[in-house]
Amino acid sequence: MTVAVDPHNPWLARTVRIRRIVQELPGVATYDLCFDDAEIARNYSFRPGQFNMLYLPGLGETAISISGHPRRVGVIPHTIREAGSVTTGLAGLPENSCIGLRGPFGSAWPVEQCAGRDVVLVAGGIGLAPLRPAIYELLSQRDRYGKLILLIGAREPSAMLYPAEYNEWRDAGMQVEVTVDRALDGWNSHVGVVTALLDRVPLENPSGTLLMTCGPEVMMWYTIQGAISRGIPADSIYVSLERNMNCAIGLCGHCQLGHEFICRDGPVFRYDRVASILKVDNL
Amino acid sequence: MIAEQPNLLKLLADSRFAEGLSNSHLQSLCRAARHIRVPSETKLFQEGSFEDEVFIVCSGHVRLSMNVPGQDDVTFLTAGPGDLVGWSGLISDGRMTATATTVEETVLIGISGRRVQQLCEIEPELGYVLMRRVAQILSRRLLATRLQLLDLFHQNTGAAQ
Repeated sequence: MTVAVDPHNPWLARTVRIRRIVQELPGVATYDLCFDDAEIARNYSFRPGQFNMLYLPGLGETAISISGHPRRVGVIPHTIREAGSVTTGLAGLPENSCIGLRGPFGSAWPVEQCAGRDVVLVAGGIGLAPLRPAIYELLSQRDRYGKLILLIGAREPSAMLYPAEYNEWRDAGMQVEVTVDRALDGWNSHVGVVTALLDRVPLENPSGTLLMTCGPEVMMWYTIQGAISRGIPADSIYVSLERNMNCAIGLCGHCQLGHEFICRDGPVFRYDRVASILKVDNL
Repeated sequence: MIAEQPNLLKLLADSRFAEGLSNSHLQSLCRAARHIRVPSETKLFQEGSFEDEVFIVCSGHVRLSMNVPGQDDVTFLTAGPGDLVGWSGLISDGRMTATATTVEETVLIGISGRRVQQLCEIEPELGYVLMRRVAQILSRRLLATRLQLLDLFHQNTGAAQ
């Protein structure tokens, strides 16, 4: 697979244009980015779970997971919540604006290891965005896998990310269950935390099941404990972690977590590699 | 509600609630139990009422809600297969702390709380195993409630967001 990062200069940002902005939720939008340079666009590829560094002149850079289809050439979607100066600056840009992009960086969801196995994906809030490329990839070769189960948790029905796609994913062969912490009138699906859905989901072969999770760390922690109690081995559980990523190549140390650098060794980790450092205070 | 008795023992043994219970314990429990199939949107019990029966959800889902003045009924949990609802009948005076309504056609095992308490007096080992199981379920429910209270998805970030 071709890597877009210039191996000799990972610091070099390429120009991308915002082709389309889709407002997903209040304060959350998906930006479809396209390279101006056709050759770079053709050669660019990423693996599910990887991230790019997006650069706004005068404001700085921020690490954003890629949320689009890995097999779709030419368009690189990023779903972004307004949280800091760069993402807030981005939110003020109109379509056709140009920004800088370095990447892709980091580790990927273990889609290759899913062949022949049941797979459970557990997403909380905007944590569905980094998992969406894995969903696309799994469904693009549906026959290679056993049961595919996606459990989505959100704060409330209006805070569900990509709801228009759930039925498409169901039609393509994925069991999709959604739950909200707070229900309103007219909500006919689950109410309660997403970990409760994991408790109930039927697992025919837990020891052969692979689980990927992304969301707030507390949610991921209890998802992992629930998965282990259901018999899913620790070495079949993958998490996507977030820290303050700056250089994206493991040099600056801002995102160091124990002996790991989130930008270089992560953001996707096998749980047993980070289990001992996940619950260390202030780490 | 339609009460049925099709292989109650198997239904109970297959439920997540009964995982790890011995066959003799299951048979004892069956003496206080019945199998019920309930249509969608049926109220199993009402907040504030006194009830004897505890329910194990076998299939389908049950909405648990509380009445909040000005907001009517607020749903705080959907119980699914393996979950226990109406446990007040088992461990306290039976006054329900929520209203339970089926979301869809639901199959349940209804167990008389009073008869189970009598069984536990006669069979202390069953009582220990059963109350330990109920405590585990309530512990999970408490943890889930804490996670809801933490409001984790409010302004949360995923990886590299």
